[in-house]
Amino acid sequence: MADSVVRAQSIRPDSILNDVTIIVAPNPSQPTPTDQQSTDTTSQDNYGVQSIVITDSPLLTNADALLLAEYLLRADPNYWFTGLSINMHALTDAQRLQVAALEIGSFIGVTKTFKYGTPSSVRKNLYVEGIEHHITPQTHHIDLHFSPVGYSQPWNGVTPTLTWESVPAGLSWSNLIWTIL
Amino acid sequence: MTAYVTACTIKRGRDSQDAQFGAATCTIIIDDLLGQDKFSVANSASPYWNADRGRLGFEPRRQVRISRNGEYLFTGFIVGYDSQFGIDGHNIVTVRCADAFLNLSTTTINGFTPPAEKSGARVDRILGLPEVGYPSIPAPIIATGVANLSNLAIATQTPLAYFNNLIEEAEQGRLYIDRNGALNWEARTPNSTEASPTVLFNDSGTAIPYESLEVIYE
Repeated sequence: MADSVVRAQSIRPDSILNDVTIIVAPNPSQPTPTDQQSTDTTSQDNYGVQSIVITDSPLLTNADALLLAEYLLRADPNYWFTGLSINMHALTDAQRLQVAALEIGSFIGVTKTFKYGTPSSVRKNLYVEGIEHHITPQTHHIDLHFSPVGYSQPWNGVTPTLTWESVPAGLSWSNLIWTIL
Repeated sequence: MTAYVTACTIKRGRDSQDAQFGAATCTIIIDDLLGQDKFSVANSASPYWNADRGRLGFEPRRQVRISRNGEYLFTGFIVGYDSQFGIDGHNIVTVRCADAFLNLSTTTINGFTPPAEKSGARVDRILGLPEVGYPSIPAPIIATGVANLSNLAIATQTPLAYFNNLIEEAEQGRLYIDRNGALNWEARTPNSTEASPTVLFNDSGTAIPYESLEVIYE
């Protein structure tokens, strides 16, 4: 079977997907492929079934398909910083250099502080997906567009060595659940 | 020619991880009253006139680079050169540019059967096809990739259509032309990492400040 058709998919890294099925196109390494499904029943109970099916994937084996299905699974809603705007003329020379050198795929950290409530600040680590420059003789504004690292890193304080005894104040059970998943 | 430019807009990459990659664009607006018609397509006295070809040197496929603080912000080619002649002599020139991504949508893969291989090897194979003839300078930067691809026949289509299909249904990675003009193929973004970013933004004055921040919750 020729891989001839561009199939539009809508897979947002920040949307709930709790039922992902990938089926590779039959090929000599996988002549009779089977559905490779990754599901999260707790998420389905909480938010309803939200599924996506990719058929005739150009992947080689069922194992490759299952790996992709597990990658695309998003069990819980979450919030992300999707973009920010920068005024280059408000930066120091050193900061301008850092921003000018940003590239698609660059790994950056963004912190937002809050006047009210808890926590007083939230940090997200993100990948740059898009960069826009709006330049005039007097101004230079940059818009950055992001994708998340993944829902498993809501805070920098969550590490593989973190234990229940060493959980810092303010880190809740639900946050740790995201990490474990 | 910066002295005659009144505005420049550059758009590279994509808005989000679920969007498809396309060619980066750059639009340059020139006030040719300041340039005293140096940028007129009819001015054979312009310092930019190409006497050998008998036309203005700013022609389609002419290379364009935009830089700031010693860093290129865009590297690409002219794809359109539009003039608006004002009755008052105030002529505005709009130079439309795109990056080398354009080559991926203006060539066609003749159907063939590749071997089973990683996505990076597949991208390299496609770029090296004679009918695609993707430029080797600057050299493409191609990651190995995570996805193992089958040896199914590839139908006749543009390289861009095929690569976007690979991203959506196999690799979930990135394809773009970097600031220096090199094609980049990147592997699937990890779902978690212990790496710490070196470029930090915040709104409290201890890192690079931002003006506004967009948040979605889904």
